[in-house]
Amino acid sequence: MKQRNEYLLALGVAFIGITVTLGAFGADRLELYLGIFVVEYVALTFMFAYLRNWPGRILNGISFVLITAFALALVARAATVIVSLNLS
Amino acid sequence: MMRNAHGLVGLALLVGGTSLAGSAWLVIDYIPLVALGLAAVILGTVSIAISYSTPPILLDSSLLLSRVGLDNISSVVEELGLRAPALYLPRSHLDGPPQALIPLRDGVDSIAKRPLAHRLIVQFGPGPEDVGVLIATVGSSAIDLLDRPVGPELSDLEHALSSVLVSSLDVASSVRVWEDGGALTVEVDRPTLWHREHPIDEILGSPVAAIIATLAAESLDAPVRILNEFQASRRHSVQLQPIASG
Repeated sequence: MKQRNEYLLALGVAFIGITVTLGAFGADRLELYLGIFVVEYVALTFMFAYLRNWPGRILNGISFVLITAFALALVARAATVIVSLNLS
Repeated sequence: MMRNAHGLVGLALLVGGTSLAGSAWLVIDYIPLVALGLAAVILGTVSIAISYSTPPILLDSSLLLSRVGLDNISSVVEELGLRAPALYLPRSHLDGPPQALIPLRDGVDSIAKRPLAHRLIVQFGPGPEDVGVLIATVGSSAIDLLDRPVGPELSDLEHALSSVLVSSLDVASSVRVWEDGGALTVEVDRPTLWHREHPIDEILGSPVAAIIATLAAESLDAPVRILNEFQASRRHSVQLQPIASG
């Protein structure tokens, strides 16, 4: 239970830390936040994956969803840029 | 989902994060807050996932249930007048799972390497006082948590102890093993399980020491006695002495 709580705490600190830091610098690209969330999530999940009774399948599913969301955000941003270039 | 705190917290984070992200996106149009909401959603989902993997019975509840068994063992040992510290025997010395032998006399320095009968009272040597009581301990069950047998090297023992105490039982953050003048010293960092209050602990050692001694006996393929154990500054140290067998 202690290791699981440490994992949640590490995730929370990482997410909040990067959100506050990027927000302080005025970053307003959602795909930037998503990309860093994906990296942090995958790295921390891999570090704690040795625990017994680890819900690996669900956490891997979350990784898949995050990566997909990041890819879709990138595609949406690219489409916006292409459309704005075509219009200009 | 609601069976423990992780599930409740996860649900709260999920709902709160979704509301925050949606409000920040549609009303305020402020990306950092949207990102914060998404982070809360991710944390909530992870927390719910962890709630499904948490064992249905917590460690404290397990200890409460096992205390009844300890009380019974303590009564038997006290009734038989046994005072000597237990010797933890490997499977090669027994006709079954590893157990602890509480000898009638103190100072046992060798045990014949032949499987002892799976009984309560056994004779482990040729002398009339080479009699003892075989007791199943926490270590007898903990060894089943290993995926493979414990190897003979110190690094194998350290790996096995980490696998049981850190990964499986989650009662420590790290384990170190080293040899010093024929005795083995095992150091457990930040243990959450320290019980030296029960009378039987004077003979069997604390639950963590019992697990360590059981695995050490398997690794060395020799009986092991707990020489000393102490806890200081979030570190639990156990010293073990191998006993000759032949």
